[in-house]
Amino acid sequence: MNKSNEILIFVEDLHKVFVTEEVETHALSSVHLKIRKGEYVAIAGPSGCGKSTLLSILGLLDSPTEGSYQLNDSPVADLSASQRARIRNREVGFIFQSFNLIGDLTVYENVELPLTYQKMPKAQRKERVQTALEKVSMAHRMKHYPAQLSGGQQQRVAVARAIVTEPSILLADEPTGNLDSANGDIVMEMLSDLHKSGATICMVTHDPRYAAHAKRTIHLFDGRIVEDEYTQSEVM
Amino acid sequence: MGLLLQDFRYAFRMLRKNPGFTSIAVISLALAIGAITSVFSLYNSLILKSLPIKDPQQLRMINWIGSLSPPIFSGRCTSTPDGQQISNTFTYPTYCKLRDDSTNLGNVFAFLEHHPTILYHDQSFTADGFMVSGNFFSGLGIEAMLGGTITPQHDKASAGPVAVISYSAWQRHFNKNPDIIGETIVINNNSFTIIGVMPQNFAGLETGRRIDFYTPIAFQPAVEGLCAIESNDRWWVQVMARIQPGISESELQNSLQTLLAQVEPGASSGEMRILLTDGSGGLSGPLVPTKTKMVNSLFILMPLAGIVLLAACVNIASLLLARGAARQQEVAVRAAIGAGRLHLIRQGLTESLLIALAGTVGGLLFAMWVKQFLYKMLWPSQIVVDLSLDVTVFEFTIFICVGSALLFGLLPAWRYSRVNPIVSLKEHSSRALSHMRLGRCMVSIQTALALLLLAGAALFIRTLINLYQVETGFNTKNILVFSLDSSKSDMENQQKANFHEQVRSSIAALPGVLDVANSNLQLLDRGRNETTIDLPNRSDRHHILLLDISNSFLSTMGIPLLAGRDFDAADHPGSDKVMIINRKLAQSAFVGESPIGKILHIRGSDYRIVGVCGDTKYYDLKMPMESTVFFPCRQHAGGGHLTYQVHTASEPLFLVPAIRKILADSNANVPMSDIKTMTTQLNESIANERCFAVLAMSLALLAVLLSCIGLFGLMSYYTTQRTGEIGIRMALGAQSFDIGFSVLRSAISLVLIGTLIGIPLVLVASRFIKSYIFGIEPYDPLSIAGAIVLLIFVSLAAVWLPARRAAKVDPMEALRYE
Ligand SMILES: Nc1ncnc2c1ncn2[C@@H]1O[C@H](COP(=O)(O)OP(=O)(O)OP(=O)(O)O)[C@@H](O)[C@H]1O
Ligand SMILES: [Mg+2]
Repeated sequence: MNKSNEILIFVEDLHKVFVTEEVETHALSSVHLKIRKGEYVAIAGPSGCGKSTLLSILGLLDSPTEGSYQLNDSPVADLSASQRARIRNREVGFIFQSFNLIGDLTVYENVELPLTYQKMPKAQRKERVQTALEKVSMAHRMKHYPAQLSGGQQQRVAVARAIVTEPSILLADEPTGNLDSANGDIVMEMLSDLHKSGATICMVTHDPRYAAHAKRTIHLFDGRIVEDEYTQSEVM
Repeated sequence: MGLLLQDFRYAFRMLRKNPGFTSIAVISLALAIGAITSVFSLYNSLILKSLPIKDPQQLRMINWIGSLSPPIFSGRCTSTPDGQQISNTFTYPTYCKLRDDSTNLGNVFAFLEHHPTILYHDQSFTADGFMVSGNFFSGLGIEAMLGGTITPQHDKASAGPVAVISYSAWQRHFNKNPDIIGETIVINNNSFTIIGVMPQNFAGLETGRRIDFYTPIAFQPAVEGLCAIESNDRWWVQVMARIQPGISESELQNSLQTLLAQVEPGASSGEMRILLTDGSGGLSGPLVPTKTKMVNSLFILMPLAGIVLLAACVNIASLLLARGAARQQEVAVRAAIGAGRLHLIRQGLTESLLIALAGTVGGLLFAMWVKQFLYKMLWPSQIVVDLSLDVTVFEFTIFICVGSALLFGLLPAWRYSRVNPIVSLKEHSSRALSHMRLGRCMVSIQTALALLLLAGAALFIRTLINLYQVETGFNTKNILVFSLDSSKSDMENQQKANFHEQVRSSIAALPGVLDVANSNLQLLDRGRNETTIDLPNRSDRHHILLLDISNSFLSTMGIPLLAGRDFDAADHPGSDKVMIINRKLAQSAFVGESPIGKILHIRGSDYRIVGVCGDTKYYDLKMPMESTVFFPCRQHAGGGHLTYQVHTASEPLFLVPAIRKILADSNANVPMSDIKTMTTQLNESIANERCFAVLAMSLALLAVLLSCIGLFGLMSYYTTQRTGEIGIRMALGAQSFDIGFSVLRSAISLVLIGTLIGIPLVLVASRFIKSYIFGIEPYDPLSIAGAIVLLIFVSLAAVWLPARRAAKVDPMEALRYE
């Protein structure tokens, strides 16, 4: 993967307002953000400050109320639903707090899913799924259903699913939130390894210990970036 | 009891919480229960319902079975497979013997069915009547609504002639005149004084037919002129009995047999045995063809309605299962806090019962509405049916209600109770959808059932279309037909013949009339005259149909004359006996030679063939063309009841007033009846098939509707259930189109599986309806393919909405709830 200084994400003056029954929630206000290829960014902040909102806008799950957003040098704020789905599929890998595997599909099928949306030939899919599962050490559980796995294993499968398309960026929303610390550590280590091999990662976390894995931590408060901190230390 | 009440309250709350599910379940059940209740009420009124009299179960019809052939017989007669005859008439003296010598066992009474001409205030019409013995009404145990009934005092030739009329006749012909008692009517040229009006619910003794006039049987010689009342040669009296309480049927049977043997030598030699049939529903048994025919139709319609109900139950079961899946969490919590399995099952069943109750109430309402529709459907075929919902129907519906509640409730309740709290509570992001799988299975079954009904209905509809396309061999357009019955007028035979000739030439002179003819029977009117003859070059006897026709019958009906000549004025009673034969007979009787001038011996006379005409259908479109012989009316009796055919230049019915005027001017008191166009005649001849096709199609469409509701319901649940999953898929980059398409695809795959199950069902079932279809094979690929295409098409429409909703899921929303 490219480890240059190219800008991957360029967000300017981003606003997100939720309007529900006459109540306006300013989830994000005037957010400016640049993320370069190969960066590992943690987003931290108190509950309700807009972390998840930011992440889903970055992942093109949601669109901003106002502001511009360029992903890989092309503006993506005003794309159609179908174009956004395409970009999500090819450029973004999601890892959720609650794993979000599909219960009716096997581990293999879950990981294969994003590739099928690319209409990739079967043989190639198989190879990619195999590689991705090996990366997270879950290849031996390919035929299992999610319900037959532990939480940590499920999250590893979810990571495999996120990286199988070789996306430009991995977005993780509290990936360890549902895991005990041992399993959490395993997942964090996996993300670090991915980062080392070139992946761009943007992760939401409450846990300062895990935030320390990242080279850069963005602190959100009340929908604004209040601090953008680069850590020098290399944490194991 | 408290627990039960609590169950009900909870069930009620659950149903109210899910108005979509509840209304889909209740509506589909109501439609199905309505359908089966309607068919059952038909069945009830035709078969189960008793006469509206006291203790109807004591009534027996007295028939006889044997190889005897009476000297002169009028009545109904049918053969058993082993060659015996079953018949329903006796001589009057035999009846008197049975009546007078069995008084300790029962009350034996008699009647004669007839079709008299009634004259009242210059209005003449024909009606169905009964000539009854003096003890007829007391034997039935029914009293008049107005005035009195016929008693033994009235049943003497010397008594003053009296008549009793039906409520319906009172209403239709006498304007419900309250002073009707004492009015005089003329029945077949004899004056009768009306002494009573029967209650509204008493329409006679035969299901589907209404008897309007009752007169004493002692007047038969005057009114019908069959024979002297004491005649020992003529068998014409139908007999019924009311068994005394405490007497068994076999006692009555034996005693009647003994009495019969005393007057009929055949009865002692075993050539004739008394056959009692149940009389509680009026006339019954093998001698009542309309009833038999309708009963046969019901034997097909009942299962069809049953399948619809089954489809509805499967439908609801699949919805319940789908909902069970959605409620797994709730049930798991209940189980975790200690609800026993039985309790959970009971809870599930209570809910089903509530749905079934609501569905049944809806079904009864629907049935009342369908009843109107059924009336309209059955009316054209002149069948009179009382479809009022009585206790039997009500009991049936209750049975259906509880039965269907168990049918659709048991499996889901059992599944519902089988929840494993540990697994269910642990699972969070991934839901086991095995309930859904069973539900999908149900949808496939439902589709299979719908296919079965649809393919069946398609066969009936194709039968109907085939019947419409049958080549009749004669012209049906712009033909007015009607009957003139001069048999009961006081003209001499020659006068009658002249009368008809006169009427025919007057009609011919009317503007707009192209041609006019008459015949002794109307084509396609079910009546037929047949015999067997010896053909010159054949050893076996040949079956032929006979028809008396006037000159120009062939040209009026557009039947081509292939050789020889039509009848003409030279063919009169004094001249040589001649006939025209159809092509079919010409071909079987005269191979390679001209039939013209040849002689055939028919019913004791020799007839010379003067012409050959084209083949025509005679009495039944379903029959193949048969050998037919036409005689000139004038060389035959030809004076009584004649049917007319008028070929017109424009709408035939416009001529009716002019023809009525001709009749009125002739002053002959000859009633004109059965006025219709030939097209109507043709339609009526297949009324049964049409009625059947429409009913079957309605049921099939109902089944399709139900399967659509089922599919819609399941797919809606499926997509709501999978909202989270759809969100994940969208986050991973699935396009809306992919999502919508996958819903459509999984729905269609269910339908296709259903089709695969359905095809063998269709093939098996079609064997049972073989005798109901015409012109197609029961394995008709076109019908089956058509049904499949329709099903897929309709199913696509049904899942369109859920698919669209799935495609429009907002991934953000979906993931938030996940
Ligand atoms: N769809 C929505 N409609 C209305 N308000 C919303 C919506 N989504 C988020 N919000 C509001 O926007 C704000 C930011 O929400 P967000 O989910 O981004 O917080 P968060 O930082 O992820 O919190 P947490 O750490 O608890 O996950 C909150 O006040 C939330 O109530
Ligand atoms: Mg959050």
